[in-house]
Amino acid sequence: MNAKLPRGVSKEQFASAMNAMRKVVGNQWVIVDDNPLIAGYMDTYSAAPVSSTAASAAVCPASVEEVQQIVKIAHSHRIPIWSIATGRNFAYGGPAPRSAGQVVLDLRRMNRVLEVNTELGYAIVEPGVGYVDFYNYMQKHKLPYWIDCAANGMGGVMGNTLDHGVGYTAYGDHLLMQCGMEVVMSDGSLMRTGMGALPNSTCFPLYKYGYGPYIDGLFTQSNFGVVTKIGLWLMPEPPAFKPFKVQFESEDDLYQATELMLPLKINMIIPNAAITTHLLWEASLFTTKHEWSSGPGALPQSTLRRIAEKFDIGMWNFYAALYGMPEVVEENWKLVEATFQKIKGAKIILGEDRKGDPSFDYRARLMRGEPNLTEFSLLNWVGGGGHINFSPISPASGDDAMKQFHMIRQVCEKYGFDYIGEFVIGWREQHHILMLMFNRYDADESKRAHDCFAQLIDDAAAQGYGEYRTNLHFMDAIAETYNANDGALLKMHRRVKRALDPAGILAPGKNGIWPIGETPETES
Amino acid sequence: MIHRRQLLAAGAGLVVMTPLKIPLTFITGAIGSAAASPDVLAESGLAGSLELISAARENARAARVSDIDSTILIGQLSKAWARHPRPLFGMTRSDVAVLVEALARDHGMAVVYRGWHDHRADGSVHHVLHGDAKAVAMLKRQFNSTGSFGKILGEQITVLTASGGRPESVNFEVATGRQPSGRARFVSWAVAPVETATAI
Repeated sequence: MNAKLPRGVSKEQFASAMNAMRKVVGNQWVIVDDNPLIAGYMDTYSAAPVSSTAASAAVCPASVEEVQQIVKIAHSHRIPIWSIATGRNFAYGGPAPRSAGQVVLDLRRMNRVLEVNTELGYAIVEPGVGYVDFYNYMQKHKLPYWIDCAANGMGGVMGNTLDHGVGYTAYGDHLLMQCGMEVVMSDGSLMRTGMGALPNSTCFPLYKYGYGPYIDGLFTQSNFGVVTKIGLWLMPEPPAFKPFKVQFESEDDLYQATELMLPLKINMIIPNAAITTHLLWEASLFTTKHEWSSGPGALPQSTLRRIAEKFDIGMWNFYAALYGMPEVVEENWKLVEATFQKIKGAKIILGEDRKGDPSFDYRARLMRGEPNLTEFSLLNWVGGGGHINFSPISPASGDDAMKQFHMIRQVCEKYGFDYIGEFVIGWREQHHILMLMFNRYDADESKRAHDCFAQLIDDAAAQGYGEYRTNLHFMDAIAETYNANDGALLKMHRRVKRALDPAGILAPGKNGIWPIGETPETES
Repeated sequence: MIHRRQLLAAGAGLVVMTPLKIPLTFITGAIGSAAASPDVLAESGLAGSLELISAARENARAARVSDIDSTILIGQLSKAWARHPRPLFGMTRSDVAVLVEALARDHGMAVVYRGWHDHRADGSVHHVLHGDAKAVAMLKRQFNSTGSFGKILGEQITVLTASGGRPESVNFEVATGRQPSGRARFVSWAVAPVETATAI
């Protein structure tokens, strides 16, 4: 055995734990470092060395009972386990654990859609259900509901929900649409939240709050338990669906577009998670940076203009959709059209205007819950596969959109990167997603990407902007920006950790939450 | 208007062009056929992809150059590998490589070779190769002796999909004095079932 062992764990202790786990799941489902499959648990796309987050082993249970037994073994042997659902949140670390030596608890074999109730409109799923699996299940059974998927069609339903991910239909706020949760606690006991705690209740996926404190959120972006089931509300297939795009000529149009869009969102005229995406996000479907420049640094404005003209892409591009009864959709469309016509030069585009356009096509598919992989074309902009997402939250206001855009682009250009970003507009805020693309085969470029990201965290925090989600390597840095009142929130998270997982075996370091006595420094 | 890719295909003569998607028969083939003969997939429009396919035909179970819709490809591979995981060598854009690597893990397969190829404005090609130490050292020697690395990769697909030694990276440039006839920055890669694989 050559792998780095978990911190403080002896070879004998580790081997004993692995042997015990083999008895639970079978030999082939305990993957240790002499098995080539262990390489599949690396974070190969971020800017840091893969060795810094290399797992010592992976264990793949097939049932809740097996998860309980594995957790008990980990607890008795003091083995840190990092649970993943499908492990495909590539820009945020993929299947890799927070630090080297942790054992990945891979739940992808638990991949059943346990129930879809067509009268009440909910589903109950296991951790390993991917978007494609879920979509295919609905299609196969001809169910009158849509799923809501992230842009990464290979991603998983539960993992994305627990990491506060979003999709693009009217049910795009995934955690909002989650109802009921089953959790294996650090001692191996099994808990159900909300109505699931009441024996014989059938309301587990119907009423979130049950009785007493509402605690589902504690098990998201955290390490307080291993979630093994969730309930989800499903969006009924609407009688009418009208996806559209609005192209804007100037980067300054972002201000007015955001201001005009907000009332449409708050009044639910536009009910879905609408997107305002920058030129280069769109352009990566059609071209690469190398075709416009072979030199270092970000592309100049003059080149961006030429790209916009050549491919008929806006400097900003707004995508959204209307859903509902046909008459309502047509009435609402008049309002939407009139709103965006107020912006000089805005070009309003419908599906029939852009037949065969891959950018419109994949967005429209996402807005009706159809998983696809088109957005991965972003990886071809510079090539080499490196990418990390910087994702600050802001009010959905024109001022904030412009301020963040300029701030982030300035930092990107300082480090030689193009700004490739979009705003995902939620109920009243927006997630600003920067795709920091770099060539992972170029050590200097990887280092610059890492440094750029670190500066972005500091600069954003100085302006009062915090990230909603992040890559493994920046979890501590971002947790520390949420430091009001002498870090009261993080201190509370760590107190909860101590109460629910006193041995500190569950995903140490997840989102900056380390067990007592274990700090990022000592871990590294 | 004739697309550049059509011109490339016409010039090559040997290869079959398949627009937009890979035929399922290519991916599934005859289950249970010769054990380790890899499938080979090259994306059209990349500098060297036609040479790769031509050279790979002798040792491949099937070899294709094609436009790739990543959603369709991953769906097809997923179905095929669920029945019979088998070695696959590719020369593609980065997105396809990332997706195939992720899918391979689900089917008990590992990445056994990765290459990055970057044609520079001065006519040189920068290569970063990671895989079995002997295999990548051999590739480096051969790349340096001739500029046609697509052909060399095609000749070595069996070695690159069935390597079993210590992994190593090499990073080097080869002067060709020519500009590429196609997309100039892309990757090559190989995935294989664990029985034949060594993790890199």
